[in-house]
Amino acid sequence: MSAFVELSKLTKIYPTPKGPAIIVKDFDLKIEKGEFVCLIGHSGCGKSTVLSMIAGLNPITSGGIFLAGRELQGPGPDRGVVFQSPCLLPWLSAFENVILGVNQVFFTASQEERRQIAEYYLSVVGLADSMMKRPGELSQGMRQRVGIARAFALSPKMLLLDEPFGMLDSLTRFELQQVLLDLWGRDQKTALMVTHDVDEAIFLSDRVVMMTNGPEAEVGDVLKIDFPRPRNRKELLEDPEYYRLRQHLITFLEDHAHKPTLPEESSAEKNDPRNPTQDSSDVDDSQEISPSMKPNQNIPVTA
Amino acid sequence: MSNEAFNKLLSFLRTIRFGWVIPFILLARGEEPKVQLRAILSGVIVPLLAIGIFLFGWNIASKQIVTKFGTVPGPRQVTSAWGSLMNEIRLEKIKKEDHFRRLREKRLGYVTKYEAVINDLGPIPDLKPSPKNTEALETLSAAFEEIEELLEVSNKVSIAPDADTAKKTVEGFNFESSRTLGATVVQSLLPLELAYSSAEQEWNLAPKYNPVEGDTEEILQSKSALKSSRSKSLAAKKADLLIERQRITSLATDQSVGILEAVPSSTRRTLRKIDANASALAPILSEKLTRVLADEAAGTKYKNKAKLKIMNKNFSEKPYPGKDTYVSQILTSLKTVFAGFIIASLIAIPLGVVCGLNKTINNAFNPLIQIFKPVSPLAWLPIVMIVVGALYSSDDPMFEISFINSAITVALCSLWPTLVNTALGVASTDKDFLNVARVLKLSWSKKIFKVVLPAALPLIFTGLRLSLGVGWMVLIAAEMLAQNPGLGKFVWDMFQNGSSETLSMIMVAVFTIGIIGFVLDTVMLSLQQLVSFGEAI
Repeated sequence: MSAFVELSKLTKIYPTPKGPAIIVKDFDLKIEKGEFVCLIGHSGCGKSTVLSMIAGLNPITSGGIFLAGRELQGPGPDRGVVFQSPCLLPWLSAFENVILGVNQVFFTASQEERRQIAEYYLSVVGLADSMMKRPGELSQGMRQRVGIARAFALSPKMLLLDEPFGMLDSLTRFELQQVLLDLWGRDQKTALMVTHDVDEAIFLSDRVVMMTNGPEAEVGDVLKIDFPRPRNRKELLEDPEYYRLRQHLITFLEDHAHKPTLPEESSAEKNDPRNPTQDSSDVDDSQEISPSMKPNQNIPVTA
Repeated sequence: MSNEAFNKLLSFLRTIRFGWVIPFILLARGEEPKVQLRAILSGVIVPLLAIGIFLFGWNIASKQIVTKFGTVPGPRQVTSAWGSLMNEIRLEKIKKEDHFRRLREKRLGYVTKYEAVINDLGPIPDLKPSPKNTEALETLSAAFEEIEELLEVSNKVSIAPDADTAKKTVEGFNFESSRTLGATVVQSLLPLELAYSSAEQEWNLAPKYNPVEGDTEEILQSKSALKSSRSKSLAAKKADLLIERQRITSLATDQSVGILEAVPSSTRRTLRKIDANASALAPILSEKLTRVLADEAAGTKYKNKAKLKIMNKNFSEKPYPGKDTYVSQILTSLKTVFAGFIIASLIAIPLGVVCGLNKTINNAFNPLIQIFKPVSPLAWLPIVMIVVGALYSSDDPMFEISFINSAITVALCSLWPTLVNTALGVASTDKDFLNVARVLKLSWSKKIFKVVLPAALPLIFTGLRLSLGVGWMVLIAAEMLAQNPGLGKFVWDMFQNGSSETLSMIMVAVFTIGIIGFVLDTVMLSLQQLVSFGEAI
């Protein structure tokens, strides 16, 4: 049986005056239903490109994305996207921002029902008192809460989160991570989140997918996080296993810092004895790594 | 006042360009006096000083130049010219009031007399038009409306400049329906004609009324008619008949214009016959009187209404014949500039949105925009005058032709800033917002009205503000040539007058134009800030 979400040989190539720039190459990933997966990697490695390709906002050069057995074409409300900047429309109130999408998805429901859906999700994220405020009157954290409410209110098949807490201070980030986990715990949406925060990835996800550095980024390593849910940040921090996982992630990232990805590194990582939770089946597909860098790929690229 | 409200007030003052008041307010509140004094020095005293130096320099320089109208006027002469303009306005106002007062008195006298006539007639009989008559009247009035339309068509034909235009006018009219209507008219007229002949018999048999001193011819007729016959049936019949005969008479007089070509000849004959019988018809007053009497059964309300109608008639129908004052010229200019501005906006905003959304369309329009943008109003105006002159001709135009010429010229010149800015605003909609629209799969109209237009609104308003500024500048030139009775024409007339006051009057106009332009710009700036939401969030 195929997985709920399947990315197959996903490739993104931008044409440039100096020849094609391969950002992501043969990216393979399977996500089970209800699974929370984090995509981690250095900035510029192409992880946001992967996410926006799944969201349909960035056309795919080759390969395919399958959601619940169907190939995706273009963007749609079946994938709720939480952007890094909340992307709220500043001329609409928090409620109007959420209801805009709800009206679109639940067009058969009555007006009252749609209002209730929007109000429910806004109050779940803790904005019951600020529904009628415009984004300009809300703090950064509150705006991102609206962004999360908007994504969940669409009741999408899948959630895509593009560094949603990247712009927040760490205290607010902790709060919002909790809000996100609570919401996710309620309806167990399949979620893919891009982040570069190691602690965030371990705290939130079932699996952490590490991406090799771009260009030609692909899955470098996969780390299974087996902490029981619901998770408690304090208990997690007392668990030695947490530090072992953290160490593993950081080592991977450090090994790949500012170096072109070479096949030896990836395989060395894979055979790392410190990594018993590694899910090798996912990495197998990504073994076909080009042996050397092509000369025209040294242009700076941002994900 | 709470702190928040106070800050709101300050920012409002800044928006309406009264920011220079703020240091005074803060000083009065005792906040950092030194800072406020410095702000007053730079924000108020320095500008005042500059104005002073300007006035002084102007005063000196003006005396050096001697023109055919004498020396160039200095500030003092311009101020006195302003004073004399204001005096003229006051004088004209008094004249106008006087004119209407006299008119009202005349009307009042008329109404008093009319009331006396009604009272003289004694108790009003209980009159109710028979249902049969009412029905016939309703059909008739519908038919007459059509005939009036026919009249209009034939009028147009008779004044058409060439055969083609005449043909076109006639082509647009449905003669078939008017022929049917003609038949209806004849049918509806039959019972009335019968009623009329019997009424006429009674009329002839009725005793005559003795005239009183001061009665006009019409009053006499109606008095004698109504007094002589107190029978219900006669009054009711006459009530119906007089109204209809009045209408028919006026129709019949129009025969000479050759209107009834489309009406069957039988109808024409009927109308002519009625016309002949109606020669004894009492004119307007008697018609009004009878109508009032007929309706009196329902109460005296109608009487009062008719009285009011007579009172208002002269005010609404006859405009005051006095000359334009400076204020009315300013108002005309404002009306014209707003008309032009609205025309321009109605074209530029939709077109700009389309251009902003589609790169190909933008590329298609771009060369045209770039070519037409720098064209002066003086080049547009002759074209506009000729084209409008050809397309817009009517005996009783809703707008003066000079007004339309100026407004369209203003529109042609002020179109471009709004167009360019709207296109830019729409094209540069934040990509994040568009992504939201794509993820939510918003429909095209929702995307435009919920996302693109709100995002482009600040730039659209920037364009509108520029457009209004350009429009106001262009208007004066357009009015000067188009002879639209606004500020431009004022300047032109003063220039043509060539009196000793010419130059100072024109300078008054210059300052007026400048100040109004400034106020318009401030209003638009405030609106612009009202719709701006700041940075994307």
